[in-house]
Amino acid sequence: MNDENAQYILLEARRIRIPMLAFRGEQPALSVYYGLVRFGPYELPVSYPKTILIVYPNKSEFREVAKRVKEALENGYKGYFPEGFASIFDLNVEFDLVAINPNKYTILDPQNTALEYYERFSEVSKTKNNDCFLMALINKVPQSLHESLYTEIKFLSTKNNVPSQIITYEVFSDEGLFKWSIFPLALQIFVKMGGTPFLLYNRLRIPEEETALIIGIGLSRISLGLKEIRYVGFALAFEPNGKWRLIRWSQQPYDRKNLPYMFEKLIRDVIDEVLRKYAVSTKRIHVIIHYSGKNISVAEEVNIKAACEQIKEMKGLEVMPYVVKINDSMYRLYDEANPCPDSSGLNTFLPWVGTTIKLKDDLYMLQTTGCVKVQTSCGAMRSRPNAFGSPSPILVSIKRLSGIQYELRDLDLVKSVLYMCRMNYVSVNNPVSRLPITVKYSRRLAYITSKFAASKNIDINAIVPQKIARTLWFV
Amino acid sequence: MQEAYGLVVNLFRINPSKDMVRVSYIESSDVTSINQYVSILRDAGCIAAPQYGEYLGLASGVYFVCEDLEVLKKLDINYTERSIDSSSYVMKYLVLNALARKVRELGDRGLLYLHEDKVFAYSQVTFCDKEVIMRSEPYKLFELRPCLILRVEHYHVEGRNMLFLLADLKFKRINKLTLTRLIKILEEKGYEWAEIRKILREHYYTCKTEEGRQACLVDDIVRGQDRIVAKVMTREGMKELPTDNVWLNPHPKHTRDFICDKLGELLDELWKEQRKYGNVRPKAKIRMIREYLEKLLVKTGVFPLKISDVEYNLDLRPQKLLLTPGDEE
Repeated sequence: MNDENAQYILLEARRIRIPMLAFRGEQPALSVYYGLVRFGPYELPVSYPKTILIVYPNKSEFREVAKRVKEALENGYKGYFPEGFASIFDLNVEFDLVAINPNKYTILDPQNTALEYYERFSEVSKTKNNDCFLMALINKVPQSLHESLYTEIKFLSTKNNVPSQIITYEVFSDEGLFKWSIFPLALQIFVKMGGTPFLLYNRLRIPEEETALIIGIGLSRISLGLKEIRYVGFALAFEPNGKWRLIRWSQQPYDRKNLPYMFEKLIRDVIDEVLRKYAVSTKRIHVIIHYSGKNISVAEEVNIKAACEQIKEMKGLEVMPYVVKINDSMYRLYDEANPCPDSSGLNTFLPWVGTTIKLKDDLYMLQTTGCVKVQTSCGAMRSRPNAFGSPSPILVSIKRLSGIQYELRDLDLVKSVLYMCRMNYVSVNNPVSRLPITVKYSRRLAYITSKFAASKNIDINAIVPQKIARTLWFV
Repeated sequence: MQEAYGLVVNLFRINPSKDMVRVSYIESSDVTSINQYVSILRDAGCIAAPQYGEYLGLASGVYFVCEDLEVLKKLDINYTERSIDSSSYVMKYLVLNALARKVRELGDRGLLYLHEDKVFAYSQVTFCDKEVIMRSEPYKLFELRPCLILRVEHYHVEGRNMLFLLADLKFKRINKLTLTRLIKILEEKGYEWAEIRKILREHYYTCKTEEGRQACLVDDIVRGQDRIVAKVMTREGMKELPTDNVWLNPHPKHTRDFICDKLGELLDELWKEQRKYGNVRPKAKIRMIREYLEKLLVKTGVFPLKISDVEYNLDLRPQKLLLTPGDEE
């Protein structure tokens, strides 16, 4: 195709620079691999489980995989995960294998199979003199399966105050996938133990003596069998440096009229709790709400403002709400001037990650996948694609509520999305995740939430034990 | 400041033959009434679009075009006639409506392949080529088809309204392996009924229920007098479904191995071909999109689209977004 055939539309654009990450001692690095290997994690957990129990069905093929994972976590795996968990994360943990009866492992009965995993885990952990971490080896399950072994194990372990990590036979029995998955696995375990591997080194531009909170909101319509349908909303709160603070739930009977109140309660409770728990002292707080779902209605806008007013009355500080909607798109783009070759040397012409194009007054296209600068294992910088095929940018729409004197620019809000895409605790090779951590886990949380909602306790917040609630248990 | 640069994008200009288009209009600013009118008009065979608030000089209300004016008399609706910019915001919905209608017509005539009758949903029109790229052998349980996903986008740049077709291309693997076919093949291969029941429990499925398609598990199959019924575990609990409404999910590796080893269906080539198309980079992808637009929309006569007194033509040259960048942030 000849470029000269193309027609033109003139639009405004900016390129947002990928922020650096901060590791131990506030040392900056572009890549997670380089930062962790060279400097170590940003912050160790205060207390953590000293034993990781790898629970697997007692069949030879599962046993082999479990052994291999244990060996790699203990001693490292070539250059892909040098020297092992204790060395990289500076934690003294031991690994143990625990087998379950293979006859009790069935995909058709995820509840009882999960119970078998949990009971065997509990039996063995009683023999240890310390808290244990559950790592369950299972077969891959379809993500869209409402009730799956994944959800059941996650539910059971979370409810019982046990941090857990689920790994699949399909990934770890395949050498090609194993080598790239072992370091990210260790990273997730560290996060679930309560550690902070890295934070953002570059921060959002917030006026001095003011602070910001980035809240990811998810909303689900949950069927409780044939009996009842409810709306369940959850909110995840992050500081502008990417530090995760807390999750809160709110639920209401299934009626659209209840949505505005649910939004109000979630936002008010989250801000209140962050201010209370983390003794944030400021005169003004900018609350950036990341949201991926239906459009915010006028009624919900009114309630978001009402929540901010209530905080102002309760705490005497000004709260400025910003609503940022994040959606997938169907756009595909290429940049003839940017060859960006892939690992086989073929030009991909992908646009730079961070490219932001203003489509309308309140609508931006943000390239979170494309050509990205990375740091090699020895620290050198180079650029490469961070996605296969023809990745699509995301759409970011900014909803400004009427009657508020805003200070942050649209571009600062788009930046908040890209910055949260850097908080990728499940990969060491992809420097920017396609979706920000604020909305990335909506579906997974919705499924687990439906298990919580089905239990008798109406307040989901009370179901997740405090110790677990302090960690990013759902990544 | 950096120099202006350009990105080529999968947007294709829709050019109207006239600057203004004649449409019918119902004045309203109430969201519920607007939605009700749109629904009534569409059910009556008209193309209709909502405009919830005043935007770029166009008042809120319902904008519509009915070919059969008798329909309107029967509906007893108060409306007026208006001439509006043929590329205005509301026209993006009318153009998309007209496009969906024409695609459906061609589908009904067998000139396009409409998958699962989900032609028009979420402001998108989706359909596939009637020609298949590849089928798995020997049972032809899976087939690979190129499918277009289309949206109509409105841009207002430098004071001008413009309409574009945002077009994407996916190579969809169509699953023909229903539980009915699966049971039939296993029986042909000599499996006993008890053994088949056991085998079927080891896999994941997709079930079509009143709630739409969803992942499910098969608890059992029961042979009735004239048909077999599947007892399936769905999001709404245990249900009984006809075996034609349950498809084997081929994603898990153990299921793919089962299809290859036990049923004898060769999947590798088709999976490899789909992956090859999935890995195509944007420059080649946009070229392919353009080729399929020409084949499936222009050569079949979907475009030019006629709405009222205006013809909308599709320009097959992809747009270039010419960007005026500021400093790096």
